[in-house]
Amino acid sequence: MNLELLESFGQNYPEEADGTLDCISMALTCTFNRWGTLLAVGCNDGRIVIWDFLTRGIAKIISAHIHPVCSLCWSRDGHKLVSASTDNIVSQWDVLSGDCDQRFRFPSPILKVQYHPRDQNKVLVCPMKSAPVMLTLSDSKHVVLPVDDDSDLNVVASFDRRGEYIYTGNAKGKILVLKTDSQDLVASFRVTTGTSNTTAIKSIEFARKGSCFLINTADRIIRVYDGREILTCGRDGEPEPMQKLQDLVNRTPWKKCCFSGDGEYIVAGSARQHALYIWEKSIGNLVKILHGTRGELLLDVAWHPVRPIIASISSGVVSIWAQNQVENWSAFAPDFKELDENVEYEERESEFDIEDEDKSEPEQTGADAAEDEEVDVTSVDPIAAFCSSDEELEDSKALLYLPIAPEVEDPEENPYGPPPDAVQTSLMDEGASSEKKRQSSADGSQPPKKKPKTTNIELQGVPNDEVHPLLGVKGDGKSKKKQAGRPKGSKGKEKDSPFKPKLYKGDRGLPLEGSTKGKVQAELSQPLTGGAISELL
Amino acid sequence: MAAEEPGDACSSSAWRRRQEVPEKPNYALKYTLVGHSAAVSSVKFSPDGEWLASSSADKVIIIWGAYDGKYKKTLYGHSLEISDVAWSSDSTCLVSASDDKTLKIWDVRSGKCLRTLQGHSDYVFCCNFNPASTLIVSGSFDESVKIWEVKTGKCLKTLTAHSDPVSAVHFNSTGSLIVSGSYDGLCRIWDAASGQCLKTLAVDDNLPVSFVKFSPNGKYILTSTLDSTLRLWDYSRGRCLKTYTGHKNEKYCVFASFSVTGGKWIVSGSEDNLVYIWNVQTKEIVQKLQGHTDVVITAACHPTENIIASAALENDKTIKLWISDC
Repeated sequence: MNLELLESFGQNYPEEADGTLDCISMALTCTFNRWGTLLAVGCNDGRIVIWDFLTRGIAKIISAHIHPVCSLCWSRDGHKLVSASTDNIVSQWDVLSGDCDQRFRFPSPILKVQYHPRDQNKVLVCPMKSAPVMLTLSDSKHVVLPVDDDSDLNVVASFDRRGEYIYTGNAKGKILVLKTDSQDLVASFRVTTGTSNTTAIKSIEFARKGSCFLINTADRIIRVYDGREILTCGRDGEPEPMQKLQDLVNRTPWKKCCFSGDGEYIVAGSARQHALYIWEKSIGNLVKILHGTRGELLLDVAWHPVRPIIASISSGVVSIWAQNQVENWSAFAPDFKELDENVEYEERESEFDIEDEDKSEPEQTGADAAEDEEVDVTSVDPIAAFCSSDEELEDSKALLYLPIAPEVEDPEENPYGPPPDAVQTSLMDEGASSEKKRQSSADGSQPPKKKPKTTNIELQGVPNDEVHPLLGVKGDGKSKKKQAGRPKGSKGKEKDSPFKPKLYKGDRGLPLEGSTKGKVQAELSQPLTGGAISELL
Repeated sequence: MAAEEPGDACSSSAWRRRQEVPEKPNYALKYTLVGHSAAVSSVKFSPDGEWLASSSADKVIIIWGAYDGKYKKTLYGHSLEISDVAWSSDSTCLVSASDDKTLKIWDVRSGKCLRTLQGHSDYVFCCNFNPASTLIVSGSFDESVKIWEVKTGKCLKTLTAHSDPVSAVHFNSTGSLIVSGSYDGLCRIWDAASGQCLKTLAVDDNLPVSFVKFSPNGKYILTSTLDSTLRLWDYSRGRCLKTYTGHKNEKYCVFASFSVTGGKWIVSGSEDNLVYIWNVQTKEIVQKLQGHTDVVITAACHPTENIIASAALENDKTIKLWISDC
């Protein structure tokens, strides 16, 4: 409801840095849930950290893998997460309990996992040097998708917005559009650059609203197409991109691109430096460049589904970019209205007379009519921003928030306790461990969980000795070390940054210094979830 | 302790059988809960409908069974009078606001105080959880509204909300908006995520707003002012849609509530020792509940059954449970 009150000029784009989310592990990938209330971050030490975006605090930590988590996806109802790690395992997790539902072992590293946007039973997996695979979770079966050219298996794939089609792209620039159910080819085209040279497709991203999608190619141009045009062009069509976005000055290669929540803006993270470029999709002009700390490399970029907020990952830290919080002072006065431009006011002849002769009779009937209106105090309107265009109601079973138990502080001397002769008859079970039980979310004090089902996926002709690209990158501190956390001596963020980062872990506005930061990190290492984390530390 | 009293129906059963849509409720006194040793300030039903929590000037909170009125336990810890208490959505935690300038988060099962929230510089008057129960909002005599994080107990934001004591704060059903009412005669609506003020309603220039809350669907605001008037506002247009009068409210911050389990009513306490019930649409008084011997300071409605709990000040000190068929 308040989204309409807030956004008087429609959704915009972020303009400045708004702090970081710092946790012990080094972040590699991040993704928002469908409503933007929770942010799942996959880390170097195999953990998935779920941040509550409203409080900017950690809601849950799932000790998912042993190896770094390289790709994550939320299910549509927010209850499940699918994750892929660099040791070729794809797992599905239940967010509330932190349990693993199912595991799949692939022969080669996974580049991307994606839930079917409407059907949580299907997951699209893009392994390296292999055709994309669609998993059906209920029966652990898999289907290998057809590719255009069997010799070239560097294929990326993505569901379209509604999951009706799967778009795949290979290293020779060929895009295939397959129907999800039958894997029939319904359309295809080839992306050419310059004088009909082909260029490799690096990724395909769809907007959350509308039918547009973008293709990030090796020739450093981002092409924006309309999905409907692709389908009408059919097989071997030649659709024209709506926009071609690039950085002509620096010829920047793009690491990750995505749309804004309403599909009006496109953000692309540079692969060379910590910078985010934002274009307006309809016009194609560059509206903003957000600069992060120099010397850091971007790993992932995600745009909040509803608000003008971007989360970006570099050097293991999640940075948040948001709009400047300008206080709307006119909201403090009940009858003030903010005007965009000066308005000429014509006063009546008798307006300032003591007895106003010209003033028309106040509308008495209007007020009474309003009092007779039917007032409905119980029926809830679905929030337009959260519903897709083909859906009427919001999902009532969806998981928007994770329950948080308050941490118990040290018991204090209680001079106002019960009088000594009062009988405290409590008819409820007084489990002394009830508080501890509520705090620990995934540790050994719970009854033994059932072992998740593991399925080995066999793929033909896939080399077994591939190494995930994430593991191969050097020079950024992203080694396989499990002992994560930003090096304490590093002054990269404080010295060069044009902004003052704020840590969202109990920061009371104190200036950041090396010593206090170290103290904050030490606080964080207090295990909230009992045994599981202390094993890793 | 609870005592069952003889029923006091005020509409005949034959009439009830004729009507499909209830025109009037027939709340009758079922239980009187005795236990507090000073004025009761607030009663709230738990979201799961099992318990009733009451806060009082005797510095304790008492938990009662909602259906049988049986005493359950007492929560000790505050050093001064408690003005308000609120439940978390999973009915496991309570937050209380007290004159000792703190709020306390309680674990209901064990009766222990989990956390004390310090930061206000004057009496804390009102408090509420958000639907996700990750945040607590509190209003105080220091004219500010504070948003606290439940998990760590830290104050996330302080809103310089008003120029007089804040009498009521409430989250809407999605947790995205906060409404605050104050003695300065204004109602303000805030964005919960950013703390920005979104709108101000001038309820009345000269009269303190003693109570404010969102309707169950978050579209309307019910305000109570110290001229014995309750108003229902459509805040997005800033228009008052309904006015409810007939009771007496000129001195105390009396709680009001929406009753939506049967017919749609507005329920409020009153300074003439009665509980008033109005029809939401027609604004007529449909029932007046008699039984208290002092100002009825608070009235709460059960989330699923037609049960009203009301409590009164120090001449009375009891909580009464009323049950209706519709």
